[in-house]
Amino acid sequence: MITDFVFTSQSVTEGHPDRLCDTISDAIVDAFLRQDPTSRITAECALSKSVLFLAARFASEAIVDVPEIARSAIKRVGYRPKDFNAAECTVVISQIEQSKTPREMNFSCVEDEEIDRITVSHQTTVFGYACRHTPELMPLPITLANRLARQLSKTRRHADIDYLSPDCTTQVGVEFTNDSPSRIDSITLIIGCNDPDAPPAFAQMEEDLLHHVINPVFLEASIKPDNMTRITINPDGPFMRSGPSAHSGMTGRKTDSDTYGSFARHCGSALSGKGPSRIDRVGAYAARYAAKNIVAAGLAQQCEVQLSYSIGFPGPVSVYLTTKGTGIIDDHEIRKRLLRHFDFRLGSIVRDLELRELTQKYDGVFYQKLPVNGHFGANGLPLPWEKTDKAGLLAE
Amino acid sequence: MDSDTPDNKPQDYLLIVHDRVPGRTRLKVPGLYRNDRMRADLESRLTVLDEIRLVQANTLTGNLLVEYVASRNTREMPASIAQLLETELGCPIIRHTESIDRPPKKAIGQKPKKARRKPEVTQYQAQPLQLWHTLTGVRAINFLQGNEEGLAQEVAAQRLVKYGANLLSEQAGRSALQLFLGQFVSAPVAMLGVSAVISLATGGAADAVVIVTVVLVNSVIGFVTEKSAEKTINALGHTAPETTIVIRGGKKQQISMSEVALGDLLALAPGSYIPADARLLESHRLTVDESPLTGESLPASKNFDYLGEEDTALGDRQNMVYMGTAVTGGNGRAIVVATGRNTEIGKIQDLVGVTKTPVTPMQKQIDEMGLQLALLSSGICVLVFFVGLLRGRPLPEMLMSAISLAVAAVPEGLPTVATSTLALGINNMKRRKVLVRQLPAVENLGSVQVICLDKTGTLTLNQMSVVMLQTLQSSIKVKEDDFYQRNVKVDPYQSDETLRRMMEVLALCNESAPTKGGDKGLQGSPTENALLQVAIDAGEDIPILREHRPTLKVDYRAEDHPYMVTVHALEDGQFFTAVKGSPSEVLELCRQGSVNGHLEILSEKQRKAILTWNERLGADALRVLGVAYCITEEVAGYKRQGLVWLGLVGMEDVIRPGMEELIAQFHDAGIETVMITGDQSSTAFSVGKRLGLNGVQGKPLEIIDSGHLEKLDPSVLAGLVDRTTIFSRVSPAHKLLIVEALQRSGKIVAMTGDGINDGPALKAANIGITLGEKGTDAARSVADVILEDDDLKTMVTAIREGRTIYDNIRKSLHYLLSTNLSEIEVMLFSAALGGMEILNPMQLLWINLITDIFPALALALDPPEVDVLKRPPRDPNAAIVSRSDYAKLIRESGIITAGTLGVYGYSRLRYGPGQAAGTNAFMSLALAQLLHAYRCRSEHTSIFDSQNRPPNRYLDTATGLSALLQVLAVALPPLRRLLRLNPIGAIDMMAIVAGAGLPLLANEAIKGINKNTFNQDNEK
Repeated sequence: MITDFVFTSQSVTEGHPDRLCDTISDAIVDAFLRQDPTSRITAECALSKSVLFLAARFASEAIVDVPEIARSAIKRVGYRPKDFNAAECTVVISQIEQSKTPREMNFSCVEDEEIDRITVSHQTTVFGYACRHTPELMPLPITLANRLARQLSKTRRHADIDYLSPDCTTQVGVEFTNDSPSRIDSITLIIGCNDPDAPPAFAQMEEDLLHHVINPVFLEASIKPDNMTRITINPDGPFMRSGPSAHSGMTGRKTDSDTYGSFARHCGSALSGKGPSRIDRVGAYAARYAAKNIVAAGLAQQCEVQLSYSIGFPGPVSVYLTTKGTGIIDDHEIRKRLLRHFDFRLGSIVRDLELRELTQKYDGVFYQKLPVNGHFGANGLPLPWEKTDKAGLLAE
Repeated sequence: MDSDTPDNKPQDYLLIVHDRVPGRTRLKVPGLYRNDRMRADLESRLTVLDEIRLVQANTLTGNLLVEYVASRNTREMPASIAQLLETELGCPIIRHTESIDRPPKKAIGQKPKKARRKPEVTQYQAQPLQLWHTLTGVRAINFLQGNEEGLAQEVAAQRLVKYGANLLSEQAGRSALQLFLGQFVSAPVAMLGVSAVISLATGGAADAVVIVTVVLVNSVIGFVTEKSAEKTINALGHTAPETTIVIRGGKKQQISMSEVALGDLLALAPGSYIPADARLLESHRLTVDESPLTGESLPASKNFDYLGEEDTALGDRQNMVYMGTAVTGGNGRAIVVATGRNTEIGKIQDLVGVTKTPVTPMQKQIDEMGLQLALLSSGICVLVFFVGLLRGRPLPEMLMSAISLAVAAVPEGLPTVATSTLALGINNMKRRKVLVRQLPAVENLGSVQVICLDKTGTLTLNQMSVVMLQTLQSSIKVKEDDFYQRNVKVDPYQSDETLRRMMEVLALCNESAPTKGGDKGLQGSPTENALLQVAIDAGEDIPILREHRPTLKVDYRAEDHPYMVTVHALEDGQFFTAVKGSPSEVLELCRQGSVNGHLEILSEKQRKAILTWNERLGADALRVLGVAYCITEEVAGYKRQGLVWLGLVGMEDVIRPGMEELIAQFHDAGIETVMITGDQSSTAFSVGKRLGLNGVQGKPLEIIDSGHLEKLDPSVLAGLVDRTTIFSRVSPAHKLLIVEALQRSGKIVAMTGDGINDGPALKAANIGITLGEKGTDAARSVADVILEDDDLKTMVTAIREGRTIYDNIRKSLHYLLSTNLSEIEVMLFSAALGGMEILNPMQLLWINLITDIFPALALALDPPEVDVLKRPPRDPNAAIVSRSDYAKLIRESGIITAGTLGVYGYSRLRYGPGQAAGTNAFMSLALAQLLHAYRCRSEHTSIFDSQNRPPNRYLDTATGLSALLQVLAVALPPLRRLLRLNPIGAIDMMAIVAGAGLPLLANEAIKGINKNTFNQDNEK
C-alpha cells in the first residue's frame, strides 16, 4: 500500500462564477427561510456574461423578490461595475410555486412516530468524513486551499491591493508521509486581474501575495511551507479578464471544494440552493456530524460515513462507515454505537440540527455564507453539524 | 468682401456685412450697385427716421452704411430701421451666418411666382422662407414680428387671412370617374370586348348586347364596392388631435389646429402634438418623437441653444420642432415659423401627391394568385379552343366560346372581394369601438401570437392610493383616508415627527396640484395624486405649504436616475431638498435616518431593515417609493451632503375587473400574454399570478428582470423572450427592445401602450394598441388600433373580427375558385366530347354573373365561427390558399362537375344532344354552384351540424335571389331565348335538383369524414 504521496486540493474565491451561483442560490434559500422557516425551496442558477438565469421552485408563505436577492448577492462580491454590474445585469427567472407537503412543517417539537411519516423526496448516497489533519478535523489540503481563497478575498477588501479581482483560484499540494501530512509540496495561486489596462508587475504581485495572503494563512499552521515548497503565482501571467464576463458559472459545480477537496468521497449533487427538506443537502451535513464525532471521540484517526436514502423511506436504507484501519475498535462496533446515538431520519436531522431555524436565528443570513466560508470545518460560523457534542456518548 | 453669396444666384435678401461696432451696420443691398436712383431713394427715406444718424449708400460696392442711436442692451439695429428696410426693399435682412431657404427649383427668378403656384395657394401670401435653424431665437422672433408674450388675437387673425389656415392639403383620392373607368381596364373586360365585336361581326347583335350588359353590371358592382371600400380605407389614420395650446397675449389658450398662425408661441409639454413647424425659444430636456418625419424611432433630443448650418439635416436641427411630431419628454417654448403646406411634413405631402390605397401582404398574395390563375385558365381556354377546332367546329363560334369560358373562369372578383371584406371589417370594428388606423393591421389582428400588456393603466385601473407608510420607527396603514398604527387610529401629525416631514416631502416633491375650486379632484399622474392625497388626508394644507416653500429647482425622474428631486427655499434662507423615488436608489443617497424627528447615521442594520420592508411591501404588490429630504445652505447642496431617510410609502394600483377572464380568453385563442411592468419582480409575480398569466396548467412564470435591457445583446434577448411571461423593472423605452426581440424570435406581436414613451414600441409592433381616452396624442398617432371605449376587453373583439375577416376572405376565395374550376372542367369535358357544346357562351356569362358575385360577397359577411377564439392564431407565413386547399378545390369542383355531367348525360340520353340537354346541365351547374356557397361557410362545421354555426342572412338572401334569377332564366321567354334554353319539365326539374343538391351533400359528407379521421388522429 502506498503511504507516501502528494495530494492536492483546490478552491475558488467568492467572485468565481460557480461560487457566485452557489452564493446566490443560498441567498434565495435564506430569503425564503427568513420569512417562513417551513418553506420548501430549491433555487438553481447559471450565469453567463451579464445574464443570470434563475430557476426557483418553492412552497412557501414568503414572497421574495428573487432578482433583488440575486443582485444584492452580486453586489456584495464587489465586481468592478465595468466587468459585472449588479444593477444592470439581466435576471431571467423561472418561478414555480408548489403546495406544501408534510415535509414542510415545524419540526422543532414533533414526536418520533410523526418523523417516521416524513419520507425523503430524493434518492441519494451521501458521505461524511473527518480526520485528524487539523483541529477542526478536516483534511489538510482543502483546508489550506479554502483558507488561501478566503484570505485572498479578505486581502482584496482590506489591504490596498487594487488589482486583485474577486475571481481567483487556489491550490495546495500536501506531501503525505506514512499517511499523514508531513510538508507543503506546492502552493498555486491564479489571480484574476482587476484592471487589464494596468497589469501589476510580477515581482510586486508575488511580494503582495506572499505578504498578505500566504504568510498570514500559514502563520498558525502546524505545517509551514519550507524552502522546497513550490509557490506558483499565475504561471501564464495575470488573467486579464475574470469573473462572469470571462467565464460562465452554475450552481453546484464546486462540490469538491465545498466538501473534502476530493480527499474523501462526496456526493455529486449540489449542496447550495436547497432548503432543509432536501436530503441530499442535510444528509451530507448529518454524515459529517457523525464522522466528526467518531474521530473526536478518539475512536479512529479518520472516518468516512456513508448514508444511502431511498424515496419513500424516512431514514437511510444503508449506514456504512470505514475508518480505513485506523479505528481503535472494530468498525462494526463503531457503527453500532453510531446507530445508537444518531438518528439519520430526515425529520430528526432537520429537528436536531435546527436546520429550519438557523436563518432566522442568524438574522436572515446563514446558508448564503456557506459557499464562501465552506460547508465544513471551523470558519467562524456556528455550524450545528460541526459540534462534537456526541463524542462523549460514542466514546463510552 | 469675403461674405459674398457663395454662388452667383441673384441675391434676394439684405446681407449684414458688418455690425460689430455698436450703432453702425453695413449691409449689402441687392440692386444698389450702380443704381444712383436707388441710392437717393434709400437715403431720403431712411434719414426721416429719428434713430438714424447717418445713411450712406455706395453705388460702387452696393453697400449701405447705416449709423444709428444704439440702444445699450442690444447690438442689433433698431427694429424700426430694419422694418423700413425690409418693407422698402421687399426682402429680409440676414446675417452671413444665417441662411435663407431657396427652393432648389430652376424656375425661380424666371417665371413670376404666381404662375408656379397652384390656384388655391395664390390667394395667400407666401410665407417667409428662412432656414430658421440657422437663426437665433431672438432673430426668429424679429423676423416673424412676434414677441415673447405671443401674438395678439387680432394679429393672429390677420395672419391667418394673410398666410392661410394651418391645414395640410387634403390628399386627393382617385376620383369617382377614375375609379369607374378603372373597372374597364382589365384583361377580362378586354376579352369580352373582343367577343362582343366577334358577335357583331357574326351577326349576333343580341349576344353583343348581353356581353356589354354583363360588362356594365360587373363594373357597376365593382365600382360600388370599391368606392365604399376606398372611402373607408382612406379615412384610416386621420386621428391627429383637433386642438392645440398656444400662448397668445401672454395667456395659454386652446385653439383649433387650423388656427395656428405664424409667430404663435407653442407651450411644449410631454405628450403634446406639435401643430406647426416652430423654432425653439426655450427648452429643458426636451425630446421629440420625430418618426413621422424622419422615420427614426428613438426620440430626438432638442436644444434651443443650438445653431445649425445651412445644410444641417432635418433630423439634426436641434432647435426646431416640426409639425406632426410629438413631445416625449421635457418641456419648452417655441415660435411657429411655418404652417400648413409650408411645413416640412406639408412639403413631403405635396411631393407624394395622390395617395394610393395601401395594399396589404394578403392582398398582394391574392393579386399574384389571381394572375397565376388567369394565366392557367387562359391556357385551358386555348386548349379548349384548339380541341374544338380539331373537332371541326367553326372558328368564330369556337373563339366566342373560348373567350366566354375565359371570362367565366378567370376569378376577376378576387381583389374586389378582398378589399371590400377588409373595408367591411374595418367598419364593423368601428361599430364595436375598435378604431383601425392601418389597413395591414386588420389581417395582422388575425395572426397575433403574442400580446404584450402594459401592467399599469391597461391591466390595472391606474388609480393609485397609498396604503402603507413605513418609517424607521413605525409602520402605518392607510385605509380610506384614515391612518392606523397597529389597528389603532392615529393622527399622523401628532404621533411622529418623521411622518410630518414625510408628508411635507410628499406634498412638495410632487407634480400634481389640487384643482381650483376646492373640491377633492387632483390634477396629475395617479402616483403623484395618491401621494398628494395622503398628505392632504394627513392634514397638510397644500397651497399654504407650497406658498411658504417656493420651488426653486425640479429634477424629474429620468431613465438614469429613478427619483425626483425638488429644492425649495426656506424662510430662514436655507434650502429644503425633497426626494422621492426608487427605494434602493434613494437609500443609497442617504447617510442619515430620521427617527421620530431625530437624525441618526443609518446603520447597516437599518439599511437592511429598510430593504426588507421594501421587499415585503413590494411582495404585497404595492408600489413602493423611498422618501428622503435634507436641509442645505446651497441650492445644489444635496448632491454632496447626503440625504436623510424618512421612510417608505406603499401604493396600490387596483387591477381592472375582468382582466383574469380576459387573459384566459387570450390563452384560449392561442395567444401568449406578456406583461410588462416597471415594478419589481415580486410585485410582478404576485400580479401575474393573480391574473393567471401562467395559464390554467400553472406553468412556471418566467420573469425577465432587468433595468438595463439595452445592455443585453439583442440576439440573446431574442433567445430569452420565447417563454417569458413577465418583464419586470423595465422602463418604457425598453418596450421597443422587447417587441423587437419577440419579432426576432418569429412572433407576430401586439403591444399595448398609451404613454408618450410608448410611441416607438407601438410603431414597431405588428399591432400597436392604444386605449382611446387615455392614450396620449403621441401614442394615438402611431397606434394601429385604438380601443375607443378604453377597455382592453374590446381587444378580444378586435382579434375575433380580425380572424373572421381573414377567414371570410378565404371562404370567398374558396367559393370563387371551386365554382370557376367546375365551369372549366365542364367545358373541358365538352370540348373533349366534341359535337354540340354543353354550355354556350351566353350561359357561361350568365353563370358568371349570378353565381360569382353575390354569394362571394355574402360569404365575406359571414358571422364569426363559434370556435374562432378557440383556435390558435394562423401561421403568418402560410399561403392564403395552401397546397391541401388546392387538392380540396379540385375534389369539390370535380364533384360538382360530376353532378352536372350526370344531369347532362341523363338528359342527352333522353333528348339527344342539343338545347334540352344543355339547358338541364346549365340549370344544374348554376344551382350546384349556388349551393356550394354553403359548403364554403366553414372548414370545420357542415350543413349537417348547422346548430353549431350562426346563420348568415346575407348568404341566404344572395343565393335566394340568384336562384330566383336562375329560375326566371327558364321561366321568362325573352331571357330563355337569349340564353337559348328550353322549357323544363317536372322530371327534368327533379334531375336538376338532384344534380345540384347531391354534390353539396357529397362534399359536406367528405368534410365530416375528414374531420372525424382528423380528430381521431389527434386523439391518438
